[in-house]
Amino acid sequence: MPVGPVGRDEPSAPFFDGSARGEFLIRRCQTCASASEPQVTTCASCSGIDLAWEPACGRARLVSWAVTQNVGEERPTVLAIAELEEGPWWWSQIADADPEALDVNIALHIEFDRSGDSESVPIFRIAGDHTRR
Amino acid sequence: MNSRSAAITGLGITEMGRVYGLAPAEFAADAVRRAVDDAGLSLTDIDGLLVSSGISGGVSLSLQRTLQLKDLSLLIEMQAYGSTAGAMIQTAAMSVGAGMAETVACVFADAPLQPQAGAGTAYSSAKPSGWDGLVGAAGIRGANHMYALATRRHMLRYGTTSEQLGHIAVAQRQWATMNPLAQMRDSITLADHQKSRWIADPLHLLDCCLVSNGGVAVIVTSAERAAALRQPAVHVLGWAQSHRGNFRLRDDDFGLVSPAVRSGPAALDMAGLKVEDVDVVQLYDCYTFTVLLSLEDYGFCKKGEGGEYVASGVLGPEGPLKLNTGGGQLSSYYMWGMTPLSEAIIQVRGQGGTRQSSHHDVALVSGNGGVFDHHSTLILGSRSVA
Repeated sequence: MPVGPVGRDEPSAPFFDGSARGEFLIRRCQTCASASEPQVTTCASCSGIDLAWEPACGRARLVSWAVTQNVGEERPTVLAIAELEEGPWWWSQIADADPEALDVNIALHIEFDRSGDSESVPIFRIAGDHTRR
Repeated sequence: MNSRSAAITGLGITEMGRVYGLAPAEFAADAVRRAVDDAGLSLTDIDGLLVSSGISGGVSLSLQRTLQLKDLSLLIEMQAYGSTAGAMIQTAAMSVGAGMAETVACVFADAPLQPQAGAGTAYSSAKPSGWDGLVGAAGIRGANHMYALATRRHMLRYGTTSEQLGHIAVAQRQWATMNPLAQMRDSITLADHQKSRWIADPLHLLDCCLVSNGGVAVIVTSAERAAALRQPAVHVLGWAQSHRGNFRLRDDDFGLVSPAVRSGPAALDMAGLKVEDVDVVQLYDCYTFTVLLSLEDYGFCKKGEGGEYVASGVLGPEGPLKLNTGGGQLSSYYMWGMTPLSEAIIQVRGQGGTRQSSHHDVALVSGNGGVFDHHSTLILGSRSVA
């Protein structure tokens, strides 16, 4: 399924600035150097609040997935949790994925898709899969 | 400070299911009136009120005025998602124990079903902005998807199968056939479970709870006072909460462990009991998988062996584990944490009719909120000291 529209709000604005540049931004604690997912405002390791934005490398591994078949769509949609190489988890769909070909820990990479002139939405693609819809 | 023990003395369950034309606040008022009648009390006996809304909101402090309750000593709107019912009973028991209030009504009501809409639309969220909007825009919308992701993770790690989850659905439906309040009373087979449509693979339709309109209220008072009232007292012996605050990053045990792992032992300790002492088990069952994971975390079986355990013949009216004996949220009615709590009260009282468990001195009740984020456990008993 194509990604839907999403707007920015104040807390998510820096993240969407990054996604517009093709970067998936995570938070890096300036006190203890732990990485957190983008919406975090308090470091899970040290409770620090001095968190910088940092582009993730874009490589990730599959943690879990679910398959949905939306009415009127030819192909099923694979929804996934992936673990970024830096540690944080993220939730999105895997583009053009064959549900039968999935396994835990397979390599994914992050790319971006958007609905119309809405904000860019990070999605996953199986690493090495260069097909485009 | 006093330290009186508390007991449940009244239970009120409204009409339930596809009941239209009533707002949540009206269901709530009806439920409280029924609970007060059930206890043999009158509304003027109520001096504490704890209110809780479901997805459709609308149950608020104004219920006091709706019911014309004067000079309350305790009034709070509570929200801990699926763990709220347990949290309300805990708060009521502590208030009674401290002498702050004498007779506390705890009520939940919800009316998410609309006449022309499918049940699936009631619990889907699509806020198209910010962090929630971002995940929703990527296709991950609501509890069905999140619990499917949790379930798959357990399957990948421990080899749990959809057929094993089906045993939970089939057994609970067997119980529901004996519950006149249940919305779904036609027997199902494992094949029916496997053939039911995918909601989000690995969850079939028959892995998912119902959606219901209705309300449930429970009256908590001192054990002393409960002993003098009409209904058999259901003593509140132990309780606990657990809110894990998972990190959602590397080494997270999402889908593998629920907060029952902490709240279960803590509640049993307070009651001075062990899991082996539990006669009836009423688990929050928003999905079949929630039941399986809770059984593991409470210690009814070992971690990772929940699938084999539920498929081993322990479940259903003929099995030794008296689990979700009213049909649960999967087959009776979905009143969040009030579903397992209401059936526990019925069983401990011995009022389960054809589905009554012969041993019913100790009941364990779970509440699960978010996606294994928030948890409550209650230990209820027929005697004040178990």
